[in-house]
Amino acid sequence: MKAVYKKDLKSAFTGMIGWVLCAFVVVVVGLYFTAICLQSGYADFSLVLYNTTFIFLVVVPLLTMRSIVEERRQKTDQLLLTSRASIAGIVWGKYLALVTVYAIPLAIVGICPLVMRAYGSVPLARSYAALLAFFLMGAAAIAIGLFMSSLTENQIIAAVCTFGSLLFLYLMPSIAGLLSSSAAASLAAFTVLAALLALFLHWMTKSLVLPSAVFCVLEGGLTAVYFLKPVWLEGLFPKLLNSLALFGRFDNFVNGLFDISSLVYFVSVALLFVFFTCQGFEKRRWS
Amino acid sequence: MITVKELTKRYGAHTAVDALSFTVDKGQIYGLLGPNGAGKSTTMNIITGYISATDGTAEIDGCDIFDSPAEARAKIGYLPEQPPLYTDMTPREYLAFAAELKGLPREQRKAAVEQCMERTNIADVADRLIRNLSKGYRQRVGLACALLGDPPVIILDEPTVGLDPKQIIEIRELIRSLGQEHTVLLSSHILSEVNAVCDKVLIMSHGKLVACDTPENLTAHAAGHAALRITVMGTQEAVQAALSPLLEQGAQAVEFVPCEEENAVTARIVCSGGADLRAPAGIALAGAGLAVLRMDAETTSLEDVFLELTGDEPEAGEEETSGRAGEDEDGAAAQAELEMAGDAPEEIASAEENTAHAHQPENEEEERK
Repeated sequence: MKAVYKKDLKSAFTGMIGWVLCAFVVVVVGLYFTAICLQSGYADFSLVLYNTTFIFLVVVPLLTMRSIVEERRQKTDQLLLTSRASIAGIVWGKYLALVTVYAIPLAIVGICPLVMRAYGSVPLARSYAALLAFFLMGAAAIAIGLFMSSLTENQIIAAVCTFGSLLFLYLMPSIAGLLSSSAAASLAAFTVLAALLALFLHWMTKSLVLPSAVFCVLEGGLTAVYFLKPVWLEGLFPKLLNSLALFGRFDNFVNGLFDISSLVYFVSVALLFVFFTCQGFEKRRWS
Repeated sequence: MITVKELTKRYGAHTAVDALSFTVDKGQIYGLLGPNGAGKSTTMNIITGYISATDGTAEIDGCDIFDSPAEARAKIGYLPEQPPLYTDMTPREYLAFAAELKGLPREQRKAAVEQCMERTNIADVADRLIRNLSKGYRQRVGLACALLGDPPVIILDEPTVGLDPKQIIEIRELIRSLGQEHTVLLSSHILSEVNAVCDKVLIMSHGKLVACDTPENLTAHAAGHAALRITVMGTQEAVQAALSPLLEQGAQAVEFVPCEEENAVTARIVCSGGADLRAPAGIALAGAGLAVLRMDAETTSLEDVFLELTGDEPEAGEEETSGRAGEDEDGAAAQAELEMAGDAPEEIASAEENTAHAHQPENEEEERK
């Protein structure tokens, strides 16, 4: 793990990508810091971070697109996979290297609250709690990007897929707000989801029985709930979408709430997608 | 050292490796031969743990590659078909990374890297970017990486591809020197290379092992029907008479084949059991006062063995039948010529000028008469 970590971190900074992304994050956060804190006089640094969450849409795809695709293209994955290192070790090495590249500019902008401290009272705890959440949110997004990079054969496709999924997560609260919260709408939405799940199962297993059975059970359950307890279904689908909104969870930290459940959520997303990436590697070996 | 048991790899309906079993002994150089798509690289990729097998397993020095993958992989140095190089590194950085990845202790890494660079002659390009190196140097960097940590088993997938003749000789010498303390398994489609370097040859075709022996035994085995072809100035009868004593010295048969030269006949002496009949034949003909114009030994090379073993089955069948048909024709022609010669000696020259086909109907007509 250590060897891969060091190699990836070094290669990010022997090329341009590491320097450019670090500069980009520092410049964007610096601009908002100047506008919000220095010129408008708000002492709360979390406001700056709240306004700069869009940088993930730019930084994460560019950061993660090379990671695994490039190994595969140059066939260097043969070296990694035939060495004594485990797949989990390799993937964690790569992931932590990406997270480190992203943590460097955050460490630099971490000076901002201290700068303001010299001129007045600053809510330091709130600022640094927001910075921690900002870091973990990025770490979760990087795990998603890493997974996308492990799925595709091409950097550009990896970047576009990552950008698409992050944009979807970014817009999720707005999408959820657009949807009707009636029980019937939720029933329809869940029916579509169940059908998609059945199709996916059919694609994976090539059988007809299992997907049909799964679809019937899910649909039966949904219909029963709809007729017996329609209240349960009311607004359930928008709620589900909102719970998936990765970036929406950051709002709590801006309001001064140290939301542990959100931190756990970010860490879980990161772990889940690193795990998926390992499984993707393993699957390639077996297919 | 390497034991492969019933190894099978299927891609959908396509079977790349089909119940392959073989054993590689310690301290020997094995050559894996086969046409493109025979499953050589797939087999190597499975043994080294890059991909998995559908069925079967392999053991490296007693470690099963699926039960204890890390231990098994630690015993292998692998150079894949395309060397797995990071082009934005220098060879020194690359080898240092590989040494760490292979889990060499920190204090040994530097010395191991230097030693490998020396062995593969890349010390003079150690600090240039791999991106800027030629194919030959890249291949050697890959080879140096395979040698790192002195693994007991070294697996090389087409190690001399893309090298110039001088480099090929150097690499072959290196491989031969590796064979003294390591077990080497290399794949190649250059037969002379396998012949020159390997102690044993494994020939694969359509995912199956079709032969496993030393190059000498393989050619000797196939040389069971070696033959001598002699063109002699003179008549067929005289040659036949002069050569007949050879039948007691190991010749199986003396037959005559069409000859292009005037006033000469070509005899084909089929030798059994690898007997060398060149000298006796020369002496016999000289004794009879017949001038030998030309003498060739038909020997089987590893190439013939390879083509024979790896040919597509239906095609091989066709070749065999067509070959037999050809022989029959030759035989018939020779017979026709013999009869013609017997009937009218003065017509030999003209008979030889014409083709066997033209004479056959005539001959049959004569027989009917």
